[in-house]
Formats: sequence, structure tokens, C-alpha cells
Amino acid sequence: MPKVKKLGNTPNLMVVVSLTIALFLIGLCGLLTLNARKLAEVVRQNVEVQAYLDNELSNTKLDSIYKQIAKYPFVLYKDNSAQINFISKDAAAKQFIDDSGEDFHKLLGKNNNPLLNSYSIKIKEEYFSESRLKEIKKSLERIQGIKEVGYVENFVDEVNKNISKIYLILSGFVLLLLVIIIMLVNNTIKLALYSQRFLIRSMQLVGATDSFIRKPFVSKGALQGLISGFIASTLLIVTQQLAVNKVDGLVILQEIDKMVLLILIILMIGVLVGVTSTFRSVDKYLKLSLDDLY
Amino acid sequence: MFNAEPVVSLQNAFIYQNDRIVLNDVNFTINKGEFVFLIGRTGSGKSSLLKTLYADLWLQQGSAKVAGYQIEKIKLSDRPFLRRKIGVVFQDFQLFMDRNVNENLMWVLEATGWTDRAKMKARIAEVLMQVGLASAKDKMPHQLSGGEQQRVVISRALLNEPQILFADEPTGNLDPEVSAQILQLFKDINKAGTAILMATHDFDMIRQFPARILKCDNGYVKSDDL
Repeated sequence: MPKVKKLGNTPNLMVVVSLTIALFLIGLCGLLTLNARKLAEVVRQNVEVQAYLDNELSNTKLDSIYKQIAKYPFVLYKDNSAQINFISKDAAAKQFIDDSGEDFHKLLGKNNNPLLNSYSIKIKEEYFSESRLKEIKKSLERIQGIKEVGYVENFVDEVNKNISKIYLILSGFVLLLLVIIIMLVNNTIKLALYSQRFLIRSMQLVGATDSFIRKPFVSKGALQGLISGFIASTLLIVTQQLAVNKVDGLVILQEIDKMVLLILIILMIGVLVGVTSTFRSVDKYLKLSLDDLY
Repeated sequence: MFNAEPVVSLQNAFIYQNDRIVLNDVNFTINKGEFVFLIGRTGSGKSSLLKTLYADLWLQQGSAKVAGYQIEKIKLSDRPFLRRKIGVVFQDFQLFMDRNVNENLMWVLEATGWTDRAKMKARIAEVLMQVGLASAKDKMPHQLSGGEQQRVVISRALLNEPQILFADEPTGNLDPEVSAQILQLFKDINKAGTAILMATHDFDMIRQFPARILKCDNGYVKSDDL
């Protein structure tokens, strides 16, 4: 049996394997980005602003301050209740002594507590920047009965900066990978089509339109992209589940809906790369004159 | 009048191979149903002339009309439609090796816009009959001899009832006996009304089948009507 020349035939394994590896790496970057984003969200949602209150306020006054704070748009709501906690000076003292190990009662006397009652306010994620927190501080300090407002300065900007750094590095990496797979797949398909260039020429000479000739090649490219996408997605899910099982606390960073989106994107990239690469390679031969083929 | 119009006509055409002129100031016409040999040494420009006529090489200077298409102005998107009105045969013109004769021909019909299955089947039977391969429909190309493969290629060129066949050394790698049979086949096709322009350097063939001759020599095409 002579070597069979098949229409639209390209070395399946080479293309699928290289595409799969690249798509898997891209997916991994996407997964890291998702986790970093979720981590940042968790951190941000736990940022609290402390509003320290004047001493000796009546319960009604405390209540009215609470209500005034709750009206602000930056306060985080969960299940319809404002995330504002009252921390009494006694509780604060206990916390301080537990944290620092220094009992100031020994120094100041048993009934002397220099700490203040406070409201601890959780802030919505979108207010998470140093400048907006400054504004929050200002508006809170305008409320009568609030003596001072405090938050961990610079922490916020530090987190933001690191997150954008991670995004930048990962997206740079993804871009690089995309360029590499496009080149790799282009090359593989180009080599494969080289052996079919006279067949393509014959098709042109019998009067087939370019789009008719392209069709079998391109649909094969799409199929290969899809298969690679499926394999890469499966690998990605396995990797992620392994990580979740091995690393404690990773579970809270798991987001099923985002993961589904990521997999859809990987499948799309696979098909897109498969289609555009074959399209371009076939097009190259369609545009050549017969003499350039030899 | 449609009938009076020649199938191929060239006026002051200059045939280029890349940037080099291979044939100067070419003028000739081929009428419907004519049989014309195109002779000349290897490298004399026969193939370039044929390629220009089926719009594979760009006609940069002068004008040419083939099957109603103005070649010097033809758009890339019109090229397939020109080629449906002509037939091209040359020696290493490939068949799909992974499908049988019938499927090879079927592919061409699909590619050129046929949709009616019954008509497609009938047309394939017709052209195979014409080239004497009526029984080879289900054979794979590798099961056929070189001469038979060339017959399939010719039948493929005939599918869309071309006004003219361009044949570039169609018997180039066949033995003399088979060559004569193939040439006879071209003669028969010609008798049925299709014009033929055949490039060859096989002078025996021309002696056996006298016909009008165009000769490529020293950069010019000489018409040598016999």
C-alpha cells in the first residue's frame, strides 16, 4: 500500500500535544490569577475601620451614632445588616492584654482603662484604597461622639500594589505563552501542509474556490483545538483539586462559576488558535503560484 | 455572436516568468473546437504561456481573453470560475490518493457548485465512459496504471464541459504506446467539440496527428499553420 495522501491530514498528535501543554499553562496562570483575586477579596472584606468613641456616652447616643454610621454607603452589608460591631473598652483592654502580654492595670491601677469604646466597621471592597479610606475617616470624624478614626495605614496600598504586580506578571506570562503556541502550532501545521501543497494546487486548478479548499483543513484545526482544550481543562481541574486537598484553607479561594468561565475561555482559545493557524497556513499556499511551490 | 468568438485570443501579450520576459508580443487566437499543438524546447516558455492562460501567472502586459474572461484584469475571486470553463491537464496533476475514482470526481463536482446527486452521478458516468474507464469507478488511484490515472485526470478536466482543455506535456511520463492512446483520447474529445491546446515536445506525436502548430522559439510565438 503506498503512502496515503489524505485531504486535510495534519500530524494530529504533534499539534494536539503542543496545544494542550500551552493551554494547560495558560489555564494555570488563569487559575492563579483567579485565586489571587479571591484572596485579595477575602483580605479586603476583612478590612475594618475603628471609630473610637467619646467616653461616657448614653445608650441612646451610642444607638444614634450606630445609625448614622450605618447610613454611609461604604459600610459593608451582609444579609441586610450593617457589619458594625461595638467593642467595649473592657473587651478592648482584654484583647490588648492578650495580644501584647502587657497588663497595664498593673501600672495604672485596676480601674484605670485608657482605652476607648469603639465601633469596628467593615468596609465595602470598592472603597479599598488609601485615598478613599482617608475620606471615610474624615466623614466619620464629623459625627458627634466619635473622637478618632483609625485604620491600618499603608496596608491597603501594599495589598493593592502586590495584587496588581501579580496580575501584571501573570498576564505577561499568558501573553508570552500565547505567542509561543501560535508560533509552534503555525509551524507544525505549516510543515504538515507542505506535503499537501500540490494537492491544494490541483484543487485550485479544477475550479474550487479558496473557501471550499480551506474548509476541511480549518474544521480539522478547530477540532484539534477543541480536543486540546478539553484535555488541558481536565488536567487543570485535576491539578486544582489536588491542590485543594493538599493545602489547607485553599477551599475558601475556590470559585466554581469562575472556574467554569476559565475552562470555556481555554476551549475558546484552543479553537481560535487551531482555526486561525490552519487558515493562515492554507492561505499561504493558496496565494502561491505554481513555480513557488517547487 | 457567441459562436464566432474565439475561445482564446491574445493581443500583444508579453509572458513573464517572475521579472523576466520569456515570450514577446504574442498574438494568436484559438477558435471553438480547434486542436492546437504548442511546441518548443524545454524552457522556451510553453508552460509559462499556458499558466498565463489559466491565470496562474499574472499577465502584466498586453491582453488576453480566455473563455470570456479578460485575463489581464481577472480578479483572484474570479479565477475559480474561469477554471470551471476550461480544463487543465498536466503530468503531475494530482488525484486524491485516499479516495476512489468516483469520489475524486465527486469532490470536483461539489467544489464547483453541483448539488443534484442524480445529475452528478450521471455526469461522472458520462466522462468516465468518454475516457474509456467506465468500469474503474470504484478503484483507488494506486490500483490504476499511469495511463489510466492520466485518463481519470482528463475525465476530471472534462466534468464541467470546458470550452477548451489546456494540456501541458500530458504524456510526459508515459510510454509511447500509452501516449498514442492518450493522444487519441484528446482527438476524440476534440471531435466532440472541445478546443485543445497541448504543449508537447514529442514530434512523433505531431507527425501522427497533424494539426495547427504554435512554436515557441527565441522569445516569440510563431504560428505555423499546416
